[in-house]
Amino acid sequence: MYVYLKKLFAMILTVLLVSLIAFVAFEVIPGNPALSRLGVDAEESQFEALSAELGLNDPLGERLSRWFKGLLTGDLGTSMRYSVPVSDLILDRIPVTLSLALMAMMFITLVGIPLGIVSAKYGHRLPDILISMISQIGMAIPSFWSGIILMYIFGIVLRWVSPGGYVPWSEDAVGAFKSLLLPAIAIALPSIASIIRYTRNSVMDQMKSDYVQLALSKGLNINSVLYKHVLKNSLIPIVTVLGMIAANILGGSIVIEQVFTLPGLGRLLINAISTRDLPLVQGMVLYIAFIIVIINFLIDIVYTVIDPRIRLGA
Amino acid sequence: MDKRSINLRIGIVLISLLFSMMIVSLFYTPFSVTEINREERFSPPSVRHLLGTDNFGRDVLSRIMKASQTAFFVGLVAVSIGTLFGVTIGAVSGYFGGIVDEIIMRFIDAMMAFPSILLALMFVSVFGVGLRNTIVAIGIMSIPSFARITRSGFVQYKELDYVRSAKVRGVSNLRIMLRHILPNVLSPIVVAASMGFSNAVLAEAALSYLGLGIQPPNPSWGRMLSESQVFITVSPWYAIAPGIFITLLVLGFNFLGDGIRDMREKRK
Amino acid sequence: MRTEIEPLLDIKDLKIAFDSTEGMLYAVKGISLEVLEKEIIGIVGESGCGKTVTALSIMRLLPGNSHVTGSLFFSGTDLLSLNEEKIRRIRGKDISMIFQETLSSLNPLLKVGWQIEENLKMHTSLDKEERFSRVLEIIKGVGLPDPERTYGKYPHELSGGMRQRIAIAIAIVCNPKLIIADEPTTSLDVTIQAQILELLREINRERNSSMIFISHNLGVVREICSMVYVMYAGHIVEKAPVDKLFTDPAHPYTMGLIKAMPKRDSKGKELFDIRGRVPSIADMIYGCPFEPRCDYAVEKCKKEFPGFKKMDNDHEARCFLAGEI
Repeated sequence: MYVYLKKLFAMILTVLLVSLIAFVAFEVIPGNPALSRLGVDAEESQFEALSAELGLNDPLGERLSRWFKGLLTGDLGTSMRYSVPVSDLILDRIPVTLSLALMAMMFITLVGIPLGIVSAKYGHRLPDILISMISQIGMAIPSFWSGIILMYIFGIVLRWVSPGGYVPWSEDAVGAFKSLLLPAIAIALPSIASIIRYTRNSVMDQMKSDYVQLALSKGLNINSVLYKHVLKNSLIPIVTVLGMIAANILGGSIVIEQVFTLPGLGRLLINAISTRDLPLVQGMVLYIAFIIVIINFLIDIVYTVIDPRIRLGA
Repeated sequence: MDKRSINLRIGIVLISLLFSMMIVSLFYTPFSVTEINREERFSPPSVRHLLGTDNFGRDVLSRIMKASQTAFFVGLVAVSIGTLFGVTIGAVSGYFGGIVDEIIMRFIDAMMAFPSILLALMFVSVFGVGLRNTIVAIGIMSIPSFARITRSGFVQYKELDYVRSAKVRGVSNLRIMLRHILPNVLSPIVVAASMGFSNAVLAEAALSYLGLGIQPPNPSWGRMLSESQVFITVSPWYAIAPGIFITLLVLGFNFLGDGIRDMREKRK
Repeated sequence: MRTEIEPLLDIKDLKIAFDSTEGMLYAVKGISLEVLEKEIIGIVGESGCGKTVTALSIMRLLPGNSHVTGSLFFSGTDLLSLNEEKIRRIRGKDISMIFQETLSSLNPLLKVGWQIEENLKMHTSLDKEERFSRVLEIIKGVGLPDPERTYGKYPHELSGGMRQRIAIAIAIVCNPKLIIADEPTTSLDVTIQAQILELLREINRERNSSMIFISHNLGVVREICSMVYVMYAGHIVEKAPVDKLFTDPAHPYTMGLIKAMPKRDSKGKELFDIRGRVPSIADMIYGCPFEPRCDYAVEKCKKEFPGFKKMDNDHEARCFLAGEI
C-alpha cells in the first residue's frame, strides 16, 4: 500500500514540475503573446489593452500562481485562435485520439507479441530470420508514409474504406471503426516491429533459464513451456517497453491524424503550433504530459500485478 | 562472409549508395530542381524522368537527390549536437554520481517518457520553424539516449581498479573521464549515434511533412511527401519515391548500428 | 556382484559431442555405468568433467547442437531411440531431475504448489481435488509444515532448504523409478544439507526410487551413495562401492579428491588442491587425461590411455598403476 502512495506522490510531483516547465516555455520565453496575436503593426493602445486583458503585465509570481490555480480547476486557459477554453477543445478531440491509440495498442500487442514469441521459438532459423527482416523494414518506414500508402491502396484503389475523414462512434460504429482502421495500423507498424524485437529477445533470454529446463524435465512440451512458464516471465521487460510504445503511439498519432485528416488531439496541436496559439499549445502539452505520467503509473502497477517478488517484497 | 557481419555490410552498402547520390547531387542533378515545366506535369516514370515529374513538372529524381543533402546534413548536425551534449551530461552524471546524478537522470527520464516528436514540436512552437531550429530541436531530442548510455558506461567503469589507481595517483577527473573511461564507452555510443541518425532522419521527415520543419526553398523528403499527398491519385510515384528513400537511409543506419553492436558481441 | 542383476539404467559407451565453430567437441568420451533398483549411485568430479551433461543426456534435455551416441537402456528401453513424445512421457514420471540452484530452477512467478501439481496434471488423470490433496500430501512428505499455506507460496518466499524440498517434491510426486539429483545440496548450508540428504535417503528407502547423485563434494557422496563413479575430462576413471573407494582408492585422481576433502581436524590448516586445472572440452588430449596433474605419472601415461584395471568385485580404475600406489 505504502508503495502505491509513494508512486502517486511522485506522479503528482512530476505533473507539477512539467506544468512549471510548460509555463516557463510558453509564457516566459516566447516574448509577448499579445504581440504575435495582433501582429507587429498593431497600435500601441490595442497592444496595451490586450496585454492587460491577458494579464501579461502582472508580475511573474502572480501569473505563475494563476496558472497553477487554473490547473487545479481544470482551466488551461483560453485558445487565442478559437476564443474557447482550451480544455473544451481538448475534451472534444479526446474520443478520436483515444480510439486511435487503443486500436493501435491492440494491434501492437495482438500481432507483435505472438510474432515475437514465434520468432524466439524458431530462433535463428528461417521463421525468425524472416520475421526479423520484416520488422527491420517496419521500423524504418516513416509512419506517415505508410499511412499515405495504406490510404492510397485501400482507400483509393481498392475503395474498401473512405480515404480520410472521421465518422464519430455515436453516429455509426462500423463507419467509425473503418475510418480509424488504417490510421491505427499506420501508427502501430513501427511499434509492432520494435515489440517483436523486444519480445523475441526477452523470450530467448528466458528460455536459457533453469526453470525452463526443470519444466522440460517434467515432460512438458515446448509450447506448454513457452506459454505457461516463459511468457509470464518475459512479460516484465515487455511491459517496460510498453511505456515507450505508448509514447510512440501518442507521437505517431500527432502525425497520422494529419495524414488522414482526423479531428483529434494531434491535428489540434499542429494547428495550434502553426498559428502560434500558445495557450492552446501549452494546454495540450500539459495534457499530454499528464497522460504520460498516468500511463507510467499504470505500468508500475502492472509490474506489481505480474511479479509477486515486487508485490510481496523479495 | 559470416552471419554476424551481414548487418554491417548491408548497412554500409545502403549508406554508401545514398551518400554517393548525395555527393553527386552537390554537383549535378539530371534536371534543374526548381525549373517549372508545365507540359511535363505529372508524367510517370520514364527513361527521361526516372521517377517521373511532380505537379510543377519538376523532375522528381533530381528533387530527391537534392533533398538527400538535407537529410544527411540534418542527421549529421543533429546527432552531433545530441552526442556532444548527451555524452557530456551522461559522463558528468555517471562519474560524479550523487544528487547531481539523481536530478539529471530524473530530467532525462522525464524527457525520454515523452514522445520525441513532441519535444521537437515544443521547441519549434516556441522558437519557430526552419532549418536551424529543426536541427536544434532534433538535436535536443537525441540528447537523452546518449546521456543514458554514457552514464551507465561511466557508472560501470568508474569502479574499475585502474580508474581507482589513476585517481590515487592524482590524475585529474577530466583526464580520467576522457582518457581512461570514455574509450571503453565509445562502442555503445557509436551504435547509439547510428540509431540516432536514423531517428533524426525520421524526425526531420515528420516535422517537414507537418510543415513545421524544413521550409521552402530548402528541399526535404518529408515535405515532398506532404506536397505529393494531394496529388496521389494523379501521380502515385511522386508520393512513393521519397518514402522509399527515407526508408532506405534509415534502414542503412539501423543495419549499421546493429552491425557494430554484433561485432562488439562477437569480440566478447 | 552387480553385473549379475539386471540394472534399471544401463549406459554403455555413451559419447556426447557438441557442434561448435571448432568442429565437434566431446564432453563425454565413452562412459558406461549402471544403476540398479533401489540403489543410489554417485558421480563425482570437478566441474567441467561432464557429469551434468551426462545427467541431462539421460533425460534427453541437451540442446539441439548435441550429438549423443551409445546406448541408454532404462527398464529395457533404449532412451536414445525414443521419439520426442515418448521421452516426454518418461520425463517427470519415470525419471525425474533435481537441479542445483532452486531460486532459478523454480519459476519465480508461479506458486510452488502449482509447480508440483503440474507434474500430476501432465502424467495422471486425477481430477482437480485429487491432485490438490496429493500435492498437499507430498509437501508434507518432504518435511514442510503447513502444506496448505506452503502451496500458495512463491519461491522467493521460501528459504533455500525449503525450496529444495519443493524441488524434491516435484521430482517424486509421480513416483519415478529413477531420480537424478545434480548437486542438490551444493548451494545449501551444512545443517540443511544434512536434512536434505536424510530426506533423499528416506525417499530411496520408502519409495524404491533409485538415484544418481551428482556432486563435486566427496563428503556428501560418501554419506548417501552406495556405488561411486569418478569422472574426469569426460571419462570414468574409477568406479567402486563407496567404502572401497575411500579405503582403497586406486586412481590418483580419486586419491587427490579424497585428500582435498576438508576433514574435521583440518580447520585452520591449508586445504590440499590438486595442482593444475581440468582440461577444457576443446583441449586435445593424448594418453591419460589426468597425466599432467598426476604425481605418479610415468612415460607410458603420456602416450596411452589405460583401460579398466580390475581391482576387486565391482571396483575398477583406469590407471596403469592402479593398485600399486
